[in-house]
Amino acid sequence: MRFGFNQLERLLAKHHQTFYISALSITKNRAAAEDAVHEALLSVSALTSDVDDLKAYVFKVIRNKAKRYVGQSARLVAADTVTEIIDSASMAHEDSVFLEQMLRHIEVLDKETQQVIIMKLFAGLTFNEIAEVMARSVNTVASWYRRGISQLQEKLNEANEK
Amino acid sequence: MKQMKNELGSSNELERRLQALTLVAPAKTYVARARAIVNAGSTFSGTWQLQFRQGLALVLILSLGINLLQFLQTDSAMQTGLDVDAYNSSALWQELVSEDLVKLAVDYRANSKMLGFLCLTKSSVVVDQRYYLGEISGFGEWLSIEIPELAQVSISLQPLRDWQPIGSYADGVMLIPLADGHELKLMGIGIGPTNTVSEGPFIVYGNTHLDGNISLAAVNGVVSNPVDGAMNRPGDVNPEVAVEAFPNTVTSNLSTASDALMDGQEAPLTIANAMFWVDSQLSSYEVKSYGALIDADVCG
Repeated sequence: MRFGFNQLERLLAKHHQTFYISALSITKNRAAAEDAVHEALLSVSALTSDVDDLKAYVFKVIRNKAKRYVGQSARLVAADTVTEIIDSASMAHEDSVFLEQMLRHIEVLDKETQQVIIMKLFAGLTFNEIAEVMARSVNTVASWYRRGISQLQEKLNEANEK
Repeated sequence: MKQMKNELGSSNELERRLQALTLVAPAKTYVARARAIVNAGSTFSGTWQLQFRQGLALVLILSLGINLLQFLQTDSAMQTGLDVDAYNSSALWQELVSEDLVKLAVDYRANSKMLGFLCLTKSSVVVDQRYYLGEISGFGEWLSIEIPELAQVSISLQPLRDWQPIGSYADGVMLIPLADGHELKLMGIGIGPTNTVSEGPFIVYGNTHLDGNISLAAVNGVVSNPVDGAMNRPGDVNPEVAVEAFPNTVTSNLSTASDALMDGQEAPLTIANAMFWVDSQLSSYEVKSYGALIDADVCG
């Protein structure tokens, strides 16, 4: 039997922020992240067959939509996306510059590590939640995170030495 | 061991500092739109789908029957009905035009910057619905127009820098009210590389400076189409030279055709400078603008 729409509504009410952040970690663009979530919900709403794990399925669709956006936008224009996701208005200029610098370092890490770091640091998701979003084991996700933080620290030290 | 502890300590410090910072939050309408999508989906789902399909089939059959009847009948009653519809639609449009479009306009949302670029292919520039100033062609994130003795206007569909809403875009027509009661109108404006003429209405962002004493030419060193005998300002150059020096920045086909005089002004109203620009954000506090690629018929 197909899932009920109350189920999808409850999922949205509880996880709308996580949906957004999981898309943002891939698109690095607010509008595109919102669109990815909305398109994913539209696709899931149109499903006629049953889904075993609705939450996992929604996350998978959101991530696929976000990845598709990245592919499409890369073909159109090589935009500088880092500055677009900084909430400059809500922080001091010094913090804003620091965050921009760190995001540029994050950008050169491998894709999965980038996503884990963004979800963990900026959205406050737990490793369990991130593992659920990315359909990976908790250990793998934690390992990616630790390695990413260590690489970021190295890059920051190098930058400070210069 | 000590070094490892130091590294761990500084990593934790880094994590703490980053955790205190925030990324851009979703728009206020994000959740409402998501909820609307889910609710809309529920209307056409599950057991409703079968009923919906049956209903659709019934409507199609009825529609076919009505069309057949219309074809067979020679009565002009249906024609009258069509006229009334056309009148209503026209009345609605007039009502919209008479309303302040700025109130109705919404943000033009584009995932990619180029999809929000302005695409002008021989687009007409008119002031106060009466004075035709000529045509502009070009493609860029924003456009600046200088009309000597009247205004200098910068426009874009995106809220660049500290720009404020200054007008509206609808059906390829941009209306920019100027502060002294005049109105600037640009017609035939497309959006994006495909030159899409969108229904809108969208908000037009930018700024306007009255009084043409502020010269873009003096800033840029380029004048697209100077008025004869008026090239005495510092930085003004011959348009041919400008085209050669800045092949990607100078508009073409700027007509100075209007001989009309503006409310007692002695000089003819004309476009002295029109440039298309693309902003490049070098850092969070520094923006540099570059002229965009121009072609008379093609954007992008």
